Amino acid sequence: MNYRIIYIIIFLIFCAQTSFAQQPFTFAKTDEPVSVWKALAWDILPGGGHIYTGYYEYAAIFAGLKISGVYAIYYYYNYWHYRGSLYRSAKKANQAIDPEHDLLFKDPEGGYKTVKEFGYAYDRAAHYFTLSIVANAAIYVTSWLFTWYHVQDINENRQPTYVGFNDFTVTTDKQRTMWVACTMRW
Amino acid sequence: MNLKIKSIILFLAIALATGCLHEPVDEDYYNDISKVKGGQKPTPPVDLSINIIEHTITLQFYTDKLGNGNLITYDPDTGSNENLYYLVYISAENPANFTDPKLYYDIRYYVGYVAETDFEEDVDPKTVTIQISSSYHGPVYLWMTSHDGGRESDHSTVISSYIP
Repeated sequence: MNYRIIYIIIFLIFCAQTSFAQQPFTFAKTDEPVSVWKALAWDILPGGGHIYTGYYEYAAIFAGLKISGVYAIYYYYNYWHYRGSLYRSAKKANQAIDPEHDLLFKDPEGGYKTVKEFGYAYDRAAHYFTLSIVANAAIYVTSWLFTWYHVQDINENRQPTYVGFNDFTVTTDKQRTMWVACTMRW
Repeated sequence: MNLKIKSIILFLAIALATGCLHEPVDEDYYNDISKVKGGQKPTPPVDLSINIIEHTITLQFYTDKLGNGNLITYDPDTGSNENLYYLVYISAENPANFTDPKLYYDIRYYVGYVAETDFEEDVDPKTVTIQISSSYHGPVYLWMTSHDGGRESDHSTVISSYIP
């Protein structure tokens, strides 16, 4: 028996089994594609998205930036309230001590300030707080962009998984040559 | 690095991070004269008088007068007037008509200042001269204050005259 006949028989048995049973088949696959949405969701945590995609150096950098960023928001939120309390206290004291003059009050951060200058410092603190929020948003967006890019990069290098059904037609010609036609849909 | 050292570093980092935070101050935080530059406000010069010759005003004032054995013009924080500056204000408008008492100390009426140390010790009255534009004809109102480098006194009595 020719070895080619053995191959054909095996192939036919395989085809018959899959074709008549209409079982789905899959190509051999490497890894599952990485989900962008899962990666982005993980990236809400400091470095989470980068750990999920396996970019640990990015994870360390963005984890550091995000933790610092959140701390900066908390710090400037407190600082804003602190400057506000100084402003209100100075305003009240100026009114109580000498309303006709702009008194100079000792600023705990150094020097002396009038009530108006305390007001400016209060406004500046509000700006710092706003900027810390903007900076955090920028860090998150940058981190998400890197995560998205890394996911795309990973998925490009991974073979997609195809699932479909086959349909075989076996014919023979006058020269007794067997032909097998295969149609796949997925 | 063992766990103990790691725990100490973490604790120090948290302590540093929380220690840097600012806590809001109490509403009465500045209701304390020691937190006001200049402390107590000084008292103003007294007994102002003016003499106008053409458009030159000669302003006389007293700062070394005694009342009950104490100086009348002085800084309560030092008990003397050696650290005081005397500010001169002038207006063509009667300050009695000012809508806001703060205008007595407004920069727009401020002419200049002299220091107590610019004069000979214990010599009164002290004199300053002010040159008015020759085109001006009308009333002039003058008043003075003292300044200790931090706080300004209440204004002196306002004196007035007329430039014909």
